[in-house]
Amino acid sequence: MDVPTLSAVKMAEGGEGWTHPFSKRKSLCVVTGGSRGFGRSVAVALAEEVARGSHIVVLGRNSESLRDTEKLSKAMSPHIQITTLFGDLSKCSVTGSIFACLRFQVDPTDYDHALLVNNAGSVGNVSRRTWEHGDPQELDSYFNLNVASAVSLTAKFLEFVRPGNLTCTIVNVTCDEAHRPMKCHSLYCAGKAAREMMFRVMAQEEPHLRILSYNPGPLETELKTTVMVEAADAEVREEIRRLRDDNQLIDPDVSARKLVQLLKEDLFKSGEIVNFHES
Amino acid sequence: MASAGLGLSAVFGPATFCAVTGGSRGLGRSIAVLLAERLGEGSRLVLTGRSLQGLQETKRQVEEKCPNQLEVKLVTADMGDSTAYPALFYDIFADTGPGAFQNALIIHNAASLGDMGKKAAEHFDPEILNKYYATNLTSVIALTAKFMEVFSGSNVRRTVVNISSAVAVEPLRHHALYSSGKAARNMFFKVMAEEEPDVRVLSYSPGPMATDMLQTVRSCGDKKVEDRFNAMESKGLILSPDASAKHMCTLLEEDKFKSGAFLDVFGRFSL
Repeated sequence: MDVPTLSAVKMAEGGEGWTHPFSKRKSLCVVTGGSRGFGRSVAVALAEEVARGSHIVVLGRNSESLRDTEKLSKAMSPHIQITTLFGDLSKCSVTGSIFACLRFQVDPTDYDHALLVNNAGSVGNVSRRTWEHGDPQELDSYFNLNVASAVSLTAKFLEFVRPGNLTCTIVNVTCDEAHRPMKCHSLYCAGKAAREMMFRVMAQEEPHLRILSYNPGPLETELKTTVMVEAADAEVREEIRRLRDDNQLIDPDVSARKLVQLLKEDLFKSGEIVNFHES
Repeated sequence: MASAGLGLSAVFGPATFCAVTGGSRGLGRSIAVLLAERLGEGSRLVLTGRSLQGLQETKRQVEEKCPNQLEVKLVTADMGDSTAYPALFYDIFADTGPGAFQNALIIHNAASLGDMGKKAAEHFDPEILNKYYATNLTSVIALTAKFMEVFSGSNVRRTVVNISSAVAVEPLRHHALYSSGKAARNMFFKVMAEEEPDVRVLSYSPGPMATDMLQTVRSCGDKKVEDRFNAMESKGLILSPDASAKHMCTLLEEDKFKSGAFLDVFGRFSL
């Protein structure tokens, strides 16, 4: 007996074809860490796919780079709105002020679907070994940016969009290091593990939400270059150099389009972790 | 990696420095009493906790088991206050000059649950989240850094134990903060084990124990969580903290675990 594919089941449920979150439905999307790298690629890939009348809000720490993200996104589609917000998520006050600001510009009831992409993050000081992380203020600041801000931003985003009664998707950008210990990356591994677990719990508690942890693969971005140059361990530096030289670093635009494809298909199990390399 | 192969004394030999955080009750108290019996001559047991009264009771129980053998030092501490770390770490590691000890062992047991009434999507306030991670994650990292600094050099056999939980790998409703903090700690210590092959690193999941902490969990108001622990109780799976502490001590004494491993009292994980 042929077991129907999940997509076939969804087609049958939806009638002629199921309606994925981006098809003919106005989306309100927020992308963090959008000044450059993967965040920028995601904003641009979303701009390519979202329906007319959608709105993409990009948060970042570099105003000039944010403007470039805005330009690239607008070039994809003149029929959507792009808003850039300058903010440093390592500061506690920022998550609150983002929505205080958006309240004046965005009415969630204008949209059908809400998407938050928690991408902002940092790799931490890779020139330090585990036992050299002795500064509590630095550690607090690291976990504030990489864990606390993503959680509180998600909570505030969901509260913000609630009046619109929208379908909601939350993306957590993760990586191999959430499960694979890597020298010089103790804080990065810890932070990513915390986030993945946080969003898995959220998926258990909130069955009406669609929650995806997306591993974009090793990307060709400034973050990787930093590690290649600054990591205290020679093997780590060499591993990244080898990935680069063997063309195994992934173009962030390609990975971002894969993420958007996953969101379009909407077949992932909520709370699941999906890797770029999975077909 | 057998200690005999290194030519160093056993985990609990003479002149062992042993610090246990969260030693004022529950598992921390059980660990302190059980370890105290095993520590050799010239050893020191340092207990930290928020309740001086609780610490004093632990000390009393330790001294009842091993009178006059062991120096027991009590340090009251709130791990959530990072401004107090310099003074706290000074107190914990005072008089540990070179040659004072042959073995050094730290058990990161102190933990808090966070607000179990909040679901993950209700954690609006980053200050509260930060306070939680400061208490349960930052403090552990910073304290480990100090431990390593104090006992640097190859003459001291070092062991670091991270008291973890099954929820470090299995998400559980109402445990957003606790499980994410434990997941973070597990990974941190796995990286440490990779970087420091001379240090014995163990993440230990003690299982559900009859402690104040479990009481709090069972009264979080979520029926599914309640049912889970009721089922465990009916199967006799709620342990005494003494039983779990004993299992941990056995793992340390046998010394066969792979450094960085995550081991569970029921033997369910070996990651």
